[in-house]
Amino acid sequence: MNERGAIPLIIFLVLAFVLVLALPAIIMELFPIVKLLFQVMMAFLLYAIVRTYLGSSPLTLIITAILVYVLVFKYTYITSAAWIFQTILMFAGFSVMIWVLGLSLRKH
Amino acid sequence: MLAPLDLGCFGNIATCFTDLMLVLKIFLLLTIISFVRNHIGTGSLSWVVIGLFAWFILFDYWVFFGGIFLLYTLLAFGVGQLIIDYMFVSQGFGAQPQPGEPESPMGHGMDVLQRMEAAKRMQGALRPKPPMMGR
Repeated sequence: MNERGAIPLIIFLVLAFVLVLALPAIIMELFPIVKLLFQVMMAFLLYAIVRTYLGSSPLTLIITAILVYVLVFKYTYITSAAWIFQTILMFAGFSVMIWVLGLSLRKH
Repeated sequence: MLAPLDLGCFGNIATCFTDLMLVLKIFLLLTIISFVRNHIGTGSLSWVVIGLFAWFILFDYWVFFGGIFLLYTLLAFGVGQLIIDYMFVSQGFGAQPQPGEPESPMGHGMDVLQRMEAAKRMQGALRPKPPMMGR
C-alpha cells in the first residue's frame, strides 16, 4: 500500500466518520423531541435485548433499568452514536463511504 | 435558545470509562447466562456454574476477557469489513515513482495489459478468414 496516497484517505475517512457519528447528537440538540423519541426507542430496544437473554423475569427488569439509566439517560449521545454506527454498518453504509472517498481521492 | 451541550462522557473520562465498563460487564454476564442456560438448563446447578464463570471472567481475569469480548463484539458488528474495504480501496492509490526511480509494472498492471493486447493481436492473425459467400 502506498502511504503517500493512503494518509489523506485516512484523514478524510476519520472526518467523515466523526461527522456521521455526531449527526444524531446535532439533530437531538436542534430538535429536542427527537431526543425523547430516541430515548423511548432505546429503552424498548434494551428491554427486548435483555429479554432475549433472560426471558420475562424480575432480573430482566433490574438489568434493563441499569442499562437504561446508564446508556439512555446518562450517555445519550454516546449511545446514539454507537447505535447509528451499528445501523450504518448493518446496511454496509461505511463500505459505500470508503468506496466513494477512495474514488474521489484517487489520482488519475 | 439552545441548552448547553452536555456531552456527558467528556466531563470526566474516568467516570465514563467505569460506567461503560459496567455496561460491557452486564452484556458479558448476559452472554454467560444465556450460554450456560442453553447447555445445562434452568436448574440450581446452572446458577452455580454462572456464578463461577462470572467470578472468573468478570472479576478475576477481566483484563483478558474484557478485551476479547470487546473485540468479539466489534467483529460481530462487522468492523472487519471496514478494514477489508479500506485495504481494497487504498490499493488503488498507485505509487508515483520518484525521479530516477524505475517504475514498477506491478503498480498499474501495464505488463499484463500489454500481454493481453499481444495475445489478442495473435488471435486475430491466426483466426481463419470467413469464406466469401454469394458470388
